[in-house]
Amino acid sequence: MSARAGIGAAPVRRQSVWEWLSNPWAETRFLWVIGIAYIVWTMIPLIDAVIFSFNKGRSTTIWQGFSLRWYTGDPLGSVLHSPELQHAVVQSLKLASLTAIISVPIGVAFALSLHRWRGRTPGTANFLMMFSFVTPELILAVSLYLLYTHTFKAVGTGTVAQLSGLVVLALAYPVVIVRARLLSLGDAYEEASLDLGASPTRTLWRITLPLLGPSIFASAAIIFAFSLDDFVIVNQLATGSTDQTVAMYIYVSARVGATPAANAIGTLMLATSTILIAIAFVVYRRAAKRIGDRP
Amino acid sequence: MDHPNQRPHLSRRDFIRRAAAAGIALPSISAILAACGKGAQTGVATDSGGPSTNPSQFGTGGVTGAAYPLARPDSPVTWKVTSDNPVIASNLQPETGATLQVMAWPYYVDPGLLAAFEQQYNCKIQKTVFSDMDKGLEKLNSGQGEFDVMLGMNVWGLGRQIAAGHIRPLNLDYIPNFAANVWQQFQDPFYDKGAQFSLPYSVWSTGIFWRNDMLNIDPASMSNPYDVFWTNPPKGKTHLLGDAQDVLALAMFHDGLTDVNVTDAATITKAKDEIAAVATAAGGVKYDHVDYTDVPAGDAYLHQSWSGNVSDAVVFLSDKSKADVLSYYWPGSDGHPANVDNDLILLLSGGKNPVLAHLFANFMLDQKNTLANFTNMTGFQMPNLAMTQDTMVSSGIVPDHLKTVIVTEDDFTKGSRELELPTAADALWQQAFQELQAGV
Amino acid sequence: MSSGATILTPKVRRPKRAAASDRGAWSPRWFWPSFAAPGIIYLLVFFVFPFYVVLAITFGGVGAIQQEPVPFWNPFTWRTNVLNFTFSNITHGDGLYQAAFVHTFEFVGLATLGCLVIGYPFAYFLARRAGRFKGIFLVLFFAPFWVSYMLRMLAWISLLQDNGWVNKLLVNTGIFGKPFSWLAGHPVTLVIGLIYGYVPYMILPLFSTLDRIHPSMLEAGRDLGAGPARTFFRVTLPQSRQAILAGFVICGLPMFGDYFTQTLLADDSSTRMLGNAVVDSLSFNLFVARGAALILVMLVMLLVPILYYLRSTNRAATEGLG
Repeated sequence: MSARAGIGAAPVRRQSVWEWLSNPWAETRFLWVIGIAYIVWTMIPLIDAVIFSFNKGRSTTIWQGFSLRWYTGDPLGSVLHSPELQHAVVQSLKLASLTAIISVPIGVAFALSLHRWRGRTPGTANFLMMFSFVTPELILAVSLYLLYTHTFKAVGTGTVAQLSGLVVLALAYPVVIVRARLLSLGDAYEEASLDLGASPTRTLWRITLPLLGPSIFASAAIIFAFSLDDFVIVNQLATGSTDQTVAMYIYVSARVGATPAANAIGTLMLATSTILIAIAFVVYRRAAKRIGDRP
Repeated sequence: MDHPNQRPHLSRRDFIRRAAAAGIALPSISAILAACGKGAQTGVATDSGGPSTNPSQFGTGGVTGAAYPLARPDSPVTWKVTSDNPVIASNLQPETGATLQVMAWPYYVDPGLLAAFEQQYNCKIQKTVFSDMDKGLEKLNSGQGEFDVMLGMNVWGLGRQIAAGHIRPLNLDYIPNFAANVWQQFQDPFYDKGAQFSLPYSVWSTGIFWRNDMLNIDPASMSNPYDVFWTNPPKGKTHLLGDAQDVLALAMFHDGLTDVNVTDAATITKAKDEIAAVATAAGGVKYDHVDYTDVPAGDAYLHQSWSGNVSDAVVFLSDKSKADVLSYYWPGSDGHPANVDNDLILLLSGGKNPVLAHLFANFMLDQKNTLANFTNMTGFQMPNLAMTQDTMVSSGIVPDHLKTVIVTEDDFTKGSRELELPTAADALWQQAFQELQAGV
Repeated sequence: MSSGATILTPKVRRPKRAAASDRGAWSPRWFWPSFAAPGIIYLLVFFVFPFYVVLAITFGGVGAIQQEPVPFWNPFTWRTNVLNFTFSNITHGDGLYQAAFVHTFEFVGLATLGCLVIGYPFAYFLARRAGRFKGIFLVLFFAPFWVSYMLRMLAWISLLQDNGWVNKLLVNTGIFGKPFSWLAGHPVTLVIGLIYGYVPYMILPLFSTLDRIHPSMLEAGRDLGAGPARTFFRVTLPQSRQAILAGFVICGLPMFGDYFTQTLLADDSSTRMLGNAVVDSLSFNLFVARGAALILVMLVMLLVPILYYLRSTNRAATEGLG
């Protein structure tokens, strides 16, 4: 079985219909159909969205010819000319990067601490962290909304509130990813360092953190990607158009009558994140390889 | 060497204890216990936790029922200007390098006008959109943001916001276009005597909007035009407006009520049940404010609509000839009970640019700008002397068969208005609408 | 920074590491716990405390002018009328929230099952059959994770219009006689939308588990005379049971809080979910406390799957990774 799986796409040997029916799970073709159908199903809307961003007319359903109207041409509604759209892009990128910058150090420190700290308290702390991880976002968003509109009124809703909510969502990613890495690394490197007389702080900076590099980087990339796309938290904690992100813009336009400008801005974000993910992937592969090469 | 496997296994009891220690499970459990303590009760909880107020501290006139006076056409209200929220002095220079924060409905102000204002006064405008009045009020109520101007607050939302101190009193010296261009009846409106806090923005009627190529109806010839919603409404293609006031008023108008600002539970419940009957007959209705795209796109064939959204639909259609399939009828034009209303330009006390905000209001009331706003974007008419059915049709902005979307000054004598309700009644209306949305 | 920390640290007295569990002794006692402090404090302020605000508002009062919720901080002054109202509207047949409550379970249940039905074969394919194309398929599979959910929903709105491509395809192939108004508020559209949005979260744990099943296990099954079908049901499926449950939880939990898929694809009273009831409550001052109460109910309701999931992952972390 595994041997056949290894062959993969190689021509499948002929089988009778009876064999196929009696043995569907062994049939590679059946699974290939499913695999391809699934990818097509997930990709079609993306392709549709990208195509209609180049529509000449106002419609997102009926093709009216190719143009760059919604990117550059339209004097009011295009990405190039609409400050509202540009601001949404900036706000999305700003929130995503700040979320990563704030939550990664806190999360990594938390993971390190849990890995070393003995006793009952770290268990409770980890429980709390994981609980925040699986709580439905709406619960988090509404409770923070009530917090900012009734308790932290001086701060109020807005970018700070959005950021604080995203960080709650994000914190657990570095904790999970870095802890897994710590477990697989074992203690040998650090013990060696300590035995050679390095202080705990020095060991942390010179040994542990570099070893954790790829996983820290991976968690930052994941956090950036999901913060960029977050809707529930960001929308609930927004005050005005200054806090509007791309996801919010697309949501509102989808409800009140979207123009292809929404597709255009979504396509630009898609291009941005694809490039970023590609860079992240290459960097991660290199870093992981370098560290993996060590004895 | 140490190994993760050697960590103590987390037992179930440990786990629950930790949940409790983490402070999450306990409050929730106590919430359930508290709930079980008393028998369930339905209805609306309106008991107040705040300090009591005397309506006259906010203004004189009006009817009672809330912590502030409620304006009625026969019982107008003069609001008080208080020292903690004073009128700004005349002849001040506009703020420089400022960002004016404007709140508005979607597609409710022409971006070209905003750009022109930015250029003229060397400032920036930041526009925030709210998808319906409740969402807009939610933004105001939460006291967040430093908004300077709100475009489009309903008259039924005004008193509460003035009482809460959210609205900045006007210095009309900055707004000469108000006296010059706005209809006489809005110079001293009953809901704000002397226009101390508000300026009118749009006027509209609420009527029946349909696709004449899909539906063969003629409400004008019917003894009760509203029957179109109850008799054979198009299945899955019937939409109503998305707010409690308009939706329940539809049933009340259908029943022949001329004043829909009712407070008794029986009438409200009856109206709710009748709307539920529309939903049953139409195989479900959608409550939304996007008639301007729904109907041209064919998502709805029959829509309770604001006249402004109907003309907006024409503005939205890239090909004007497609407007032939759109029909609009306002029952008030034939003496049936119906709604005609206006909304408001408000300057907000939380804003940081009061002078610029005044100038912006004046800018929006300019005759040329009013027309540009209508033609380029909103399709909502302003009660401006320049905007009449004749000028709008002859200039080709509105197709002749839809000219009734332009409200006349006279229409305000024919239609009734949706006004601010007593607190308890307001809750009943909102409750009824929530029940309709929930389908119960 | 490192020097600062060492100055504060008196010469570290490092005892011999006698017991294996004694790692904390590498450094002063407070050293490692202090690393967790920012995270703990952050969660206390922005995760735990907001729940208390939710309680204070659920059990609080109402302002005189604005009818805005007034939180009561002292539990002894709490009023239960709003929670009672919420409860009775869930339990009574004609209650405001019962339909949304029931729908939420129906739609989330159906959509989660749908995710499994679609996700399992795909994960199986990805793990065992994609062969040398595995890399490409993995990249394509992960694409939705970095493409805006809203953009994909916007595209579905366009595809599902009366005159959209889905209807064109269905009518031209003769499957449907006439176009179907997908967006007129049908549960089927909502469930498909939910499946579309969340199925990657089902595939992820399934794939990582199926990918780890060692081929030798399957070969052993075959060598013992089991056919492929039998091998699947006796070896593969039991091994992935844990992953299926995990998939159910991480796929289902966020669906409980979903309201935007409904508003975008299937806005109608017959498709409203709890999330919609919560969000709608927030827009009218007097009903904000009801939204808070619904949040509480939702949280308590989901406590069981949440705790189950945390417990099983904790166990996996302590047992599995060794």
